[in-house]
Amino acid sequence: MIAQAILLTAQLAGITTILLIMLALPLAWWLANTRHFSKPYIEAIVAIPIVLPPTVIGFYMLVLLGNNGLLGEMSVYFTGYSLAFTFTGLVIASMLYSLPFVVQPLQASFDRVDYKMIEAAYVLGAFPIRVFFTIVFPQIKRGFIAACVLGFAHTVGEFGVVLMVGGNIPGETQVLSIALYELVETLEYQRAHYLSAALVAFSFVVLLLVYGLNSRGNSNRRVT
Amino acid sequence: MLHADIEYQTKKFHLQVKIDLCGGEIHALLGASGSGKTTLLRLLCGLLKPQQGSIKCGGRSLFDAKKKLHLPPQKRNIGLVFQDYALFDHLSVYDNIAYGVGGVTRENKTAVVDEWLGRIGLEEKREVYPENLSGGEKQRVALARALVSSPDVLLLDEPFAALNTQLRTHLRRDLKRLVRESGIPVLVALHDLDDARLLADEVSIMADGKMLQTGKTLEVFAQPNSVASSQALGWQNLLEISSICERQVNTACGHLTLNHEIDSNSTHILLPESAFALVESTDKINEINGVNLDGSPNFNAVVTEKVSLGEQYHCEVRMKNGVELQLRLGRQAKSLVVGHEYGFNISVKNVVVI
Repeated sequence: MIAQAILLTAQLAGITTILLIMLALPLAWWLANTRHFSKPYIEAIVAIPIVLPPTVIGFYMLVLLGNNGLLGEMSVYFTGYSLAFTFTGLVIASMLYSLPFVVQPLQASFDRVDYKMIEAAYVLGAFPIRVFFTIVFPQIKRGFIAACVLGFAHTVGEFGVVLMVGGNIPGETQVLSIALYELVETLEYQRAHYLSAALVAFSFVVLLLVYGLNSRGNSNRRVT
Repeated sequence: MLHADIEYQTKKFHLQVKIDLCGGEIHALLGASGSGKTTLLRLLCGLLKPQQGSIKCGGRSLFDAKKKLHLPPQKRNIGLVFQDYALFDHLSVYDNIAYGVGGVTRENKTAVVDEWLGRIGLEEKREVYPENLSGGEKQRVALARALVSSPDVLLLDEPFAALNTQLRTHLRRDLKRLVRESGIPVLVALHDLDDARLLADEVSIMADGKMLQTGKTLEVFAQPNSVASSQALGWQNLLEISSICERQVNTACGHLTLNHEIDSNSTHILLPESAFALVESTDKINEINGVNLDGSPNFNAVVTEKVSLGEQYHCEVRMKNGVELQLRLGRQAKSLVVGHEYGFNISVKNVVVI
């Protein structure tokens, strides 16, 4: 059960992080550069999962992804499959829940990008894709890694949203946090201890990585 | 050859510029901060889009409002050196220069970049990162990076702003040499008058997005055509003309009899700092500059500041009517005491009427 839950959690966190990065990169770039009146509204919407109880997000996601919900109905119409209590539904819910943890580090990194370098690259004949990979990405590298790590780790640590949207279906929606909950429910404290300790160690390593990256960035800035 | 006739509205001013640049010539844009120099450079290289007009370079149209043509900066082949150089911090000197070299084999790229490293004397710094370069070295790398792809025009935005005097002299010489060798037109935004005098073949004075005056450097400096031009060119002593009668003008410094006819629409006279002489006693007035006492310019003023420049003295004086003047006097000024009143005379041959 635990091995299956670990694999499922890794899959969920991995897929969510990849999809979130694809969504968050343009969104964070836009937020870092725009002066549009809607910017604070979008920032507030992105940050909502930080302050809202996961059960609230889970409830609305369930409504949205359920067979009578907008997304659920569309999914049934186009694919014949429901989204609630499925791995796909879990990925969509996780993306929303972890969105601020990916967008915010990226936006902070984009804020620090020296725009003159981008303009210099344009004048030297480079088109946007080349400019992104050769000029922008090296400047946001640390923020990018932090966004990936935080997005992955936050998805691993999900409980409320997963329980509401995915339930507890082994091999389909039973991720680590749900498996742990079930171990406690069935009074298997020894295994629950091992699993909890492993999650604590994982969280520590993740945070160490993030803080290590940040302090490296700060010391580099002091030297220059 | 570059020809531009463009208009662009900013929050501060309406930029309206017509400019022609010829190959191998350095054209300086002079003006105070916020006069539109940088905006013009950004418009020419495509980082900003004008609202009206056209830009042509060597027969190629880069921008045409009527045809709705606006080539992006990547397709203009115009080199730009930014004020703070905008070197790529994460790339070595070699990679910075190589960034703009395209469409050649790796061997050719290496050869071209190495040649430029040699030209700017930085072969030893090939693998060094910009943060470990001095201001002058950064400037040379930025210059080589802009020139390595053989642009049709080179634009420089305040290239000497962050450099000390000695380095400026060296880099002015380097820039002139590189420009003459490449034979391309160069437009350089400057605020330092000495840089413009020593570097540029032609000068344009800019204020509030408009070209006030354009011409050969020496001519523009010697004969500003407006009050704003004269102020941009550092003329300190600007006096309003209250009346004109043939060759005579009446100013705050009294009557001046000039040695040429004056346009009746003239409004101001400009007095170079060196046009003044100290009148040590009324007996000697006749001897100074050969100006006749009758009708000759002559005024009294209190010395408010005196600074020794070696053989000469820079003095600031204030007349009773409140007009302040900047004077450059010879050894005779050694005896001047700040706070005392003295008589001064003006050599009319150096006076400019606008």
